[in-house]
Amino acid sequence: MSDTTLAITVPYVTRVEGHGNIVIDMKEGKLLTSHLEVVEPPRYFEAMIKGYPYTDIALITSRICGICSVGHQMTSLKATEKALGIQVSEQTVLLRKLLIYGATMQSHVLHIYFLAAPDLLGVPSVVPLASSHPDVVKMALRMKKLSNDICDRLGGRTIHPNRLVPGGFTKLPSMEDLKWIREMLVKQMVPDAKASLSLLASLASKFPAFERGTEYIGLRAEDEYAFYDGAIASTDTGLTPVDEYLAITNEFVVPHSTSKHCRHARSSYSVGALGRFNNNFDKLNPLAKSAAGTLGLEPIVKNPFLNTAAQLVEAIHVVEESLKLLDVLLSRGVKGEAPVVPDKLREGRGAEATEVPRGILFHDYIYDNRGQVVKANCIIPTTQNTQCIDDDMRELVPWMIGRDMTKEQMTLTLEMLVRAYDPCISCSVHFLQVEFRE
Amino acid sequence: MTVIGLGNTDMGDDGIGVRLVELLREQRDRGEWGGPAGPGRGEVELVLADGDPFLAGACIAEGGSVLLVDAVDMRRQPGSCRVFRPEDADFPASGPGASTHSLATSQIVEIARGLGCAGSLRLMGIQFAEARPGRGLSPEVREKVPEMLERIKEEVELLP
Repeated sequence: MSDTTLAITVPYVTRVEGHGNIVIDMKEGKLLTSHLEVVEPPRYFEAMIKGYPYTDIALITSRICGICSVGHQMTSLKATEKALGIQVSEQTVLLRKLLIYGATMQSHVLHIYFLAAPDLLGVPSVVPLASSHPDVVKMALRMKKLSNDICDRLGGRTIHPNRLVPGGFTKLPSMEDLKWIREMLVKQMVPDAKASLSLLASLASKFPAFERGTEYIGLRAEDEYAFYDGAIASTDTGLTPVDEYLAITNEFVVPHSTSKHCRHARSSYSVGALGRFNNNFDKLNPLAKSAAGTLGLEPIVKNPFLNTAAQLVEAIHVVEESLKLLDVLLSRGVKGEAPVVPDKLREGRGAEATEVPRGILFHDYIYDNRGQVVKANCIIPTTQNTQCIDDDMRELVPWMIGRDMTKEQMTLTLEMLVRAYDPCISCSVHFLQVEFRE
Repeated sequence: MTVIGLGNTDMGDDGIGVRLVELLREQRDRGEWGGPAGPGRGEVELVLADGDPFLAGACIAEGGSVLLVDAVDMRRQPGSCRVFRPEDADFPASGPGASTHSLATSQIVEIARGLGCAGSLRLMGIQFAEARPGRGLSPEVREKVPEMLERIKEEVELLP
């Protein structure tokens, strides 16, 4: 390796939700560059919502991401409610959690099967899998559609739900909706999730056996595997209140990326399924914990490629958790509740966090006394993971050279690493074309 | 039996497939259209696959007859439409991969073929005039909307 000269460029990805390049430059054994370049332009959502009334903010910020639209809405609503002193009912919280679980299934299934599985099965995309593994593709599409239907029945749309407003829901799901969701989870999703576990376990040896420990961050709650609420948990430093999130994120800029980077106790930290898993393993439901054992996952998991495996554990967990919530809601009945409105508009600030599929998401708003946004800050999971990806690459490149990988194998492994984090830029990474500078 | 509208309503005529299925839903809700009328014909499911093309793949994978409505470039008069079977057309080679936000119609067709579901798939292609950022249809496409709706209803009666 001491005399290795290597240049890998995976250039310019043109997609709406994020553009990224992989750039590796090693000269005579010295690694000069190992970057994920994010080249997407700023989208100005934080400036866009200034002056808008509190009733509109969640609907606008939902548009930050089509895959995490539920998560953005939820985090936005919580931040607004905290700022304006709106207390939502227990029923609203239960229904919101149910919706988050549906959206988590929706996103995790998409990533596991349509982005990660082709790498594990040695094909360029899901399209050829339809011929070679039709039963797997049908199962994946079935799981995706059921997750979509759950979001539709709860939120009014499969993406960008339109029933969620500050204080509650404009339209509540019917008891028939809830019964249907429960029946379909039991009849379809549970067996499909178990089959997915068997499939992924059979492919586990295809994940590169690379490890690099880092700081893992995710929400943690007293009584459950945290998605909706909790304190910020770090495997290095313990718990921090969400109000103090800026002490965690510590955003900074780098020349090679239009996305800010983040760091906390180390040079970078990781959020996402591994961030949650490594901080909440003891809160997993029984089937999910058993699934983790089947996949060989035990905290602290230090292999970033196993984020995909942790996503499947979480998909199973949220199915179990959804069934618990549905039993509560069905036994109590859905009460007709109007959204809670503030008695009086007031100045205020609300910083809140929710776990979205790709990691912990922060929204922070300052409102004036007319209920209009004065200042906003949104820190998305991909922003928090970019420095971690760079740090992984810095160790992964020598690791690959030490295993005599070909350049093609190294390029694929680097792409797999980026995909493993399931970043928003993953919407394009399968389109990457590779060029070598040599 | 399923009619799926594909496209992006924030991209001008690209959203015509979605808009047509929305209009059919409204007509059905008002009782102006009850779906296929022939004996033994079931209900038609009207699906909006805006922003989530995987939903179209999922509907096709469920089996049954599917009519996929989408804006296409056939080099014809804007607003003209044509219904065809997958084997009636050559599709450009699709890129190497799907993504979270994108699955081209050609890839949906490839998946349908792989799953053995292409035989009951029909596509209704509508020639777009403008597909650029912004809501609303071009005048050329908008004026043909009533004809397109009738054509979909005719095709629903003919679906296998």
